[in-house]
Amino acid sequence: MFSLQDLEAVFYFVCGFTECLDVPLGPTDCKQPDVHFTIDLRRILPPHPPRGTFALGAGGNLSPQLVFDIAVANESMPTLTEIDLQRYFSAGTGTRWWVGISIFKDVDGVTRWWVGHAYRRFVNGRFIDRAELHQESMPNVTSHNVDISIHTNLLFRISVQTLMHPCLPPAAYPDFIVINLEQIRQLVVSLL
Amino acid sequence: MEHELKATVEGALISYQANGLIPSSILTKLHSYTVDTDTFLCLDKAKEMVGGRFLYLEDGVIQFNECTRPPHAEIIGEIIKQVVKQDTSDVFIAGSGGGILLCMWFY
Repeated sequence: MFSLQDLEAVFYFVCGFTECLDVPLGPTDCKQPDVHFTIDLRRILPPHPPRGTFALGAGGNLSPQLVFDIAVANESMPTLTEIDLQRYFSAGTGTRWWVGISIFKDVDGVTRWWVGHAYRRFVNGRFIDRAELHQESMPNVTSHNVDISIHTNLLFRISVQTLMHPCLPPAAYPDFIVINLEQIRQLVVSLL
Repeated sequence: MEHELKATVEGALISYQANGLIPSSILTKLHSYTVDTDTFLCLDKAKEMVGGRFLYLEDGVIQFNECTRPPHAEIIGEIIKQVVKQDTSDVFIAGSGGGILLCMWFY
């Protein structure tokens, strides 16, 4: 006999294939993260997490926990940091951490950039469908973002605990995945 | 019909060029047309727009999109390189461009 939980799983399995939607950004657009990282359950020590711990995505595989959204002169700040950001953390997406990088390329003038990161809020022992923009993010302005020729000391520390909760990482695994923005800045400047 | 199609495309173009979005009413109307290649090529409109935005024909339906620009791809490569170096136990599967589903379906 099937349990109620099994029937529920079958229902959502069917939904998964009949409503295969990327994260919509508007009436004409869908969103796919430019880079994403997903926990490989084969690397998690038993016991495995209970059903409902991680959202599932395309093909029944886990949705990514860590996503990067990269825009080069094709998205405005409100789009990236407000519309896109909240979409990434909407119900069912499974996103735990988001990093946004926007390059406002200007071949004749000053190329500027914005980088920021956000995490899914954790309230009363549960993740909720709200993003919290990290204070390390660059100021959220609509113009005059930071000149990309200026050196930055920004390091984004992404909590492995947040990405993997309630699972534990392997022994000796780092507590944080660090994104070095100066390395990215130098790369971008070299290619402008 | 051709006149209506042109008017609909024009409405979509104006909106898309202005803010990258197309009102759902216009989009629904646009997608109700099945367009052949000749009709698409004869549309009296530029197929490429300012800001890397363009329109194309997919399975008879006019679609809108926006090009990524360099160094978009190189930044992706740099991020994957940085994260993978720190992922000492191969805990994460790296990817690019995969979709996120919005159904409430959990493992």
